Amino acid sequence: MFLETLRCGKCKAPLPEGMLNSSDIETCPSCGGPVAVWVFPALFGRPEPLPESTALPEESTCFFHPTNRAEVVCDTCGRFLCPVCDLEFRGAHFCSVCLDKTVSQKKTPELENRFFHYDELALVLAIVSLFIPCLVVFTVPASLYYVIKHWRTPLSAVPRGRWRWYLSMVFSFLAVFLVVMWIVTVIDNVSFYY
Amino acid sequence: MGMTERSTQSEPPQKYRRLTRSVSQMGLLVPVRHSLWDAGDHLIVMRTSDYRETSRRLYYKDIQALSCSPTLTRWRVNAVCMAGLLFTFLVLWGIGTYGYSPLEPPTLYLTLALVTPWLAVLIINSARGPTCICHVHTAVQSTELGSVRRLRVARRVFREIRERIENVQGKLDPTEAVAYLRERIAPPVRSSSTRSIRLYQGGRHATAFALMLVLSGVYLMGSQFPEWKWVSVLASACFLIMVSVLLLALASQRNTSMPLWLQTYTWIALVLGSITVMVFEGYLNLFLALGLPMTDETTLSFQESFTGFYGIAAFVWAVLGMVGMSGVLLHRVTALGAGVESNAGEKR
Repeated sequence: MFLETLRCGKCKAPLPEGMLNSSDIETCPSCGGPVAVWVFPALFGRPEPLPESTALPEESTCFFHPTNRAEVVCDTCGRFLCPVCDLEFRGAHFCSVCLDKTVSQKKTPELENRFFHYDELALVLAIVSLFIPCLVVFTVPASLYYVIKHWRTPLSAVPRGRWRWYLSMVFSFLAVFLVVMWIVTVIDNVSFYY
Repeated sequence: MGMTERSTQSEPPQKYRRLTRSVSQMGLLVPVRHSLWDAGDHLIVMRTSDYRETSRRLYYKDIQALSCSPTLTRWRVNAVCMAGLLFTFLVLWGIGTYGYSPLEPPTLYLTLALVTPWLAVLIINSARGPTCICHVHTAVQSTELGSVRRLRVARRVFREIRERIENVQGKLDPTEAVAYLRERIAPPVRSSSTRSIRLYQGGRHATAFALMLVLSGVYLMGSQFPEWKWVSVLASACFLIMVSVLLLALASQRNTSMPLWLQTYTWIALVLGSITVMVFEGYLNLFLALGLPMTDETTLSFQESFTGFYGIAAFVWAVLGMVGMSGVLLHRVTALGAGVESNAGEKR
């Protein structure tokens, strides 16, 4: 007997049941490649069918499915929803429109899966300004702009330290200080010469 | 009431725990970083490339299986480092024949600069242990864990994840699982994505490795009798035949029952042997290209160094050939054993 859902990573052949939850690495009978597999009860579960929800004449119906009985109300817009349209998230009920709006407005970090690391970009710009002083005019303002503009923007799905922000500020000011010192020295030398 | 307010009121803040440190992998243009986090009731698989972070949440209640397959990446990296070291030693040995000791300044700095990177990668890669590729399977997707690339890390991470999943889903009794499978799941139908695996006992590989041993013998003869000019002609002919057979073997090993390590080794043998021959055939041009001035003494030692190169080439081909032949023999014995077992199974 073979597991249809689980296949060998090398030859893509289904894996035999004898390889389930073995304590050690086994060999694929098809290609001889080593493989270890652990399965869990979710593999054998089947999704529960949705309950019958055809509305009777006096009953409220779903906003999106006029034949279905309404069972919940969208917590944001108040539309009546049937079990098919009900989207539950963290104990609240939403219709698809409101959930989509919530995701696009980036109100819930839990639903977002794309972030931009502005702090890394600011840090790179600050480091560049330290090593290539002629670019200070562009890189330092850009770095400081990102620091100020995105100080409170969520930058990651997981907790992220703020040291990159602080370091970019320090490097930016250091770069400006070094450039100013260099200009002052040049002016001093020129004035001394004349 | 907004969703954020509601969620903050009703649920405690999630505790995130890093399961693996950030692992970098070279992408097409920029490095890609992977990491794995535990967020209480789900895993977060993160991928960062070019300042952009993409995360995927895999809830413990949805995870159907975890799989892990050891890969040969560690051996491949080590093989590249060994080839680099071999090339470096040949260069240094050549420099030595021109009167420059590789262990004295200024050649010492060149030695350190050439040897250190290869050696460092070799030691670090070996110390980090075997490599692997791991996947998390749910009903709708299989996600590769890019940050779990070493077997040692995989064992630790999977132990933690399995505990978490079993806390959520309950423990699976293997006998129950097998009974369920027998009852519910139909016998497999070979899909188009399944590659057919041919039986192959390695005849062409054995010929190629045997020719390597012959070539080694010819080179050894050349090192002992440098005045025999026909030996170099014979060596060239042997080399051409051997490379042709080796290329034929490499072409025929795809999708066969030959173990992956032996397939990889055959490629390594081709690369290492080619480097040796390249250095062997063109070493004079190489040293001229390096800009090292030749003294009178070193020019006089040309014949001796030529003999020495014959000796090195003979040694390299002998080692490659013997290891390869052993590998093919081992594969044949294993295949024979498996054949006997399967025949016995069929009879039962």
